[in-house]
Amino acid sequence: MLVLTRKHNQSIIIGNNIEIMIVEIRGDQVKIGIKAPKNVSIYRSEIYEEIMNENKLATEQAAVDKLGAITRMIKPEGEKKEEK
Amino acid sequence: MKIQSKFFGEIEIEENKIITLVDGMLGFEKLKKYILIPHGQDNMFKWLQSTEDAAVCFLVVEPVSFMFNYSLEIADDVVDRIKIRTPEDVIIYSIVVIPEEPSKISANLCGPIVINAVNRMGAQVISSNPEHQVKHYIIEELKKNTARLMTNFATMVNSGKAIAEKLEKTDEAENKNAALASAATAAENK
Repeated sequence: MLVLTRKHNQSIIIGNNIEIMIVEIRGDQVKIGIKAPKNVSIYRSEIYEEIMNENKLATEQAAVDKLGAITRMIKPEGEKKEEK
Repeated sequence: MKIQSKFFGEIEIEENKIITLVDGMLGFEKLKKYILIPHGQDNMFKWLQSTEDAAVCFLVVEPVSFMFNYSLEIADDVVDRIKIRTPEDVIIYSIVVIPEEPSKISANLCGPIVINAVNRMGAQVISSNPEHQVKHYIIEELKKNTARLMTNFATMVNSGKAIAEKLEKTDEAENKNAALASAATAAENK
């Protein structure tokens, strides 16, 4: 990982179309301004991690038998008809 | 072709039904090929089975099937990558988690899977709508919808009643006028 030291209002350029600027420094928080083309997605990395964890949880907990109970909860009438 | 599935053993699939997730799923970036397996007829849930790793299988649901007024803004880079031409070509799925307590079944609206039904290319995206959370409890959302429908129905019944009352009043007034008119003509005839 490349590590750079920057001061308030200084910036870095990535490629030739992304600029990242230190807008404000207060205590342990840093406010960052990002100039990038519209087609570049920018997200907080926690969101990626959260979705990644949810994906993993989804595959681990998926089970066919559990779905039966849920289908009954959502469609009680349909199930009753089937039982007849 | 035949593939191994997590829940249904060896299954026969049509190769042209395979969905390609261009970047895989977050945490499963190497797996790009999936197949949708419906969970019985008339069921809102489907299985998204990896054709490359039998152990990887997600339960998915279309958010529109349980969310009122669901919409998703798809970023330009995603539109380009999976070559979306019109919004009609897009199918959106949410990944479902079934916990130990099945009534707490939840769908992830924060990281939906966008699929272009025309070329079967797709991507897991991040919703820009802050109301789209990682866990939306499906049963609760359905209950909310029922409550909403009941309120709408009550409003309709009430406005219907109001209209009926108004009509009755005008009918009464018209009857009165008619009675007065016939009395007047009777008097004239005399």
